[in-house]
Amino acid sequence: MVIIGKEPAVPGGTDRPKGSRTLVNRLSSLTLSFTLMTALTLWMGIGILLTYHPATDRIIKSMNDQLILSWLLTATGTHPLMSLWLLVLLGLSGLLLLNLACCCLTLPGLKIRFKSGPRSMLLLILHVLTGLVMVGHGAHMIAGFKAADMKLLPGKSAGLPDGTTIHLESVECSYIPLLEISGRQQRRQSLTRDRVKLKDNYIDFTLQKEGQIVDSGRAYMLRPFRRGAFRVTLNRFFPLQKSGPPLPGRTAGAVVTVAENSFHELFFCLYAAMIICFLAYWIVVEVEAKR
Amino acid sequence: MTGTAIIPGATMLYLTAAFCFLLTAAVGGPGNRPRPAVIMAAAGFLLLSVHGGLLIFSLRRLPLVGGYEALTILAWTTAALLLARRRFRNDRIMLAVFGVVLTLLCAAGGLARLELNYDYFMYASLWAQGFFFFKQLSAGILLGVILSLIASVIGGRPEFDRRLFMAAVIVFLCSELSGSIWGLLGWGDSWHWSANFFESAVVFFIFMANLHLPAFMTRNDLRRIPFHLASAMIITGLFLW
Repeated sequence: MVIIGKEPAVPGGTDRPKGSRTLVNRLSSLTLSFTLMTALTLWMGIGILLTYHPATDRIIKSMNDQLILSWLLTATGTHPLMSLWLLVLLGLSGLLLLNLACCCLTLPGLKIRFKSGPRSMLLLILHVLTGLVMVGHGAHMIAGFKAADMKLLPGKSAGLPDGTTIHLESVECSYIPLLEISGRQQRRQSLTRDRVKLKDNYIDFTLQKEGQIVDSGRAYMLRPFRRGAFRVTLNRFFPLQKSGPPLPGRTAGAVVTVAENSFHELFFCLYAAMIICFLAYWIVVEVEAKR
Repeated sequence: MTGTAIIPGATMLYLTAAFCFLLTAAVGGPGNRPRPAVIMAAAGFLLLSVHGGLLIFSLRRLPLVGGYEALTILAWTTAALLLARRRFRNDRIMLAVFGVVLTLLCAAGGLARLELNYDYFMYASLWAQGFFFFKQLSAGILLGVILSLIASVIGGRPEFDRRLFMAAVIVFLCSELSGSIWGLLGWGDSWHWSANFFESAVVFFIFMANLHLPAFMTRNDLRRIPFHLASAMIITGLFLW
């Protein structure tokens, strides 16, 4: 039996002798990591099945409309089954994070840090970065606010969770006739790069607080309006009339998402650092194997 | 529109590549010298590279999803791995197994009239392209893992190429990062609760479970090898689906 590029284990993740089994050692065991990963795979698999049922799929979609913490606080009574599913998911993820933290903090991890070469060091950094990415995921779920998929008509307003109001001034959509094609698949297939130019499609809006305009801006497809951690994203357009002959000067409505979250950039940086670290580790392992 | 319809000489390129890989499989079989088989595989790879270049030139983007484009990435990556890894190109059984599968892939590319993906306007974003392209690339690397595992089982020395598997994980993570940035720019959030998100999470945890096998799994080939093989096949299937 041969395992190409076999690892001793993750930092601290070896199955230790029975004598040294403290709680932390138990929490850092590789068996626990494997069990939790398998459980999370199955639990996410159940999530996929839930999306196939119209009733649960509707609830899952509603989870995107706001921060998950806000959703959980309001939905525990109305959707107990989905709330339970989510709580178990969060619980398993939390345990995995605890397992990862214990792996990095226990003695084998420290030994790796002080006496081993670049391979072990990179492995440890990789695990620390993975933990930070997991924390970033968690922070993303509770920080700031989010108001997703708001359908707005030109000249209309919508309130935001932070007390601001977004007012849609105008909509510039260059492909309104294509929006009116019936059938989702046919419509989607007609929206090609030749026909839909991203820079020609945008919305103009103002942000108001207590009747006063506090900001204004323009959001393009795939180019959101940004002011610090505050974002207005143009998701898509929708036709104001579903049928009838093309009319000159007609317009469309817009679906927008307004959110404030300062963790996005940090999260992406951590994720990129994790990939780079993984790549560096892989190169070291490859080079060592070739020697 | 079918892929072979828009790329000049695509059918010929694919069928000639199929013939080269058929020779790779035949020459690389037991009792023969691997070197001619490697030369044949290199010729097939060259033809696939020309085809891939023409496809990118015709589409003005990377190949992404849909039968024809996915098959292009899959065949090219598998052939590249066969040539890049010394352990593969020096092993007659590896050459035979890779050769047979590449012959089938190339024959399907030339004859099966597979459709191109429609040119959705979101593909103007490089992040969108990265999301789909890296995922197919990861599937191609995983196919290499699967074939090498099968070849090693046939040879009587089961070997799981962990390093190649890790390469597939890295490429998958690149796909996820690209997808997250695309999601943030297009929908205002880096991820959504949806079937696609759950699917990505399932793939991530299967990948991770394979890299964190405990002793009771690693000690036993009858547990470990089928687990790796099934995992790689499930992920590849999910990527190509």
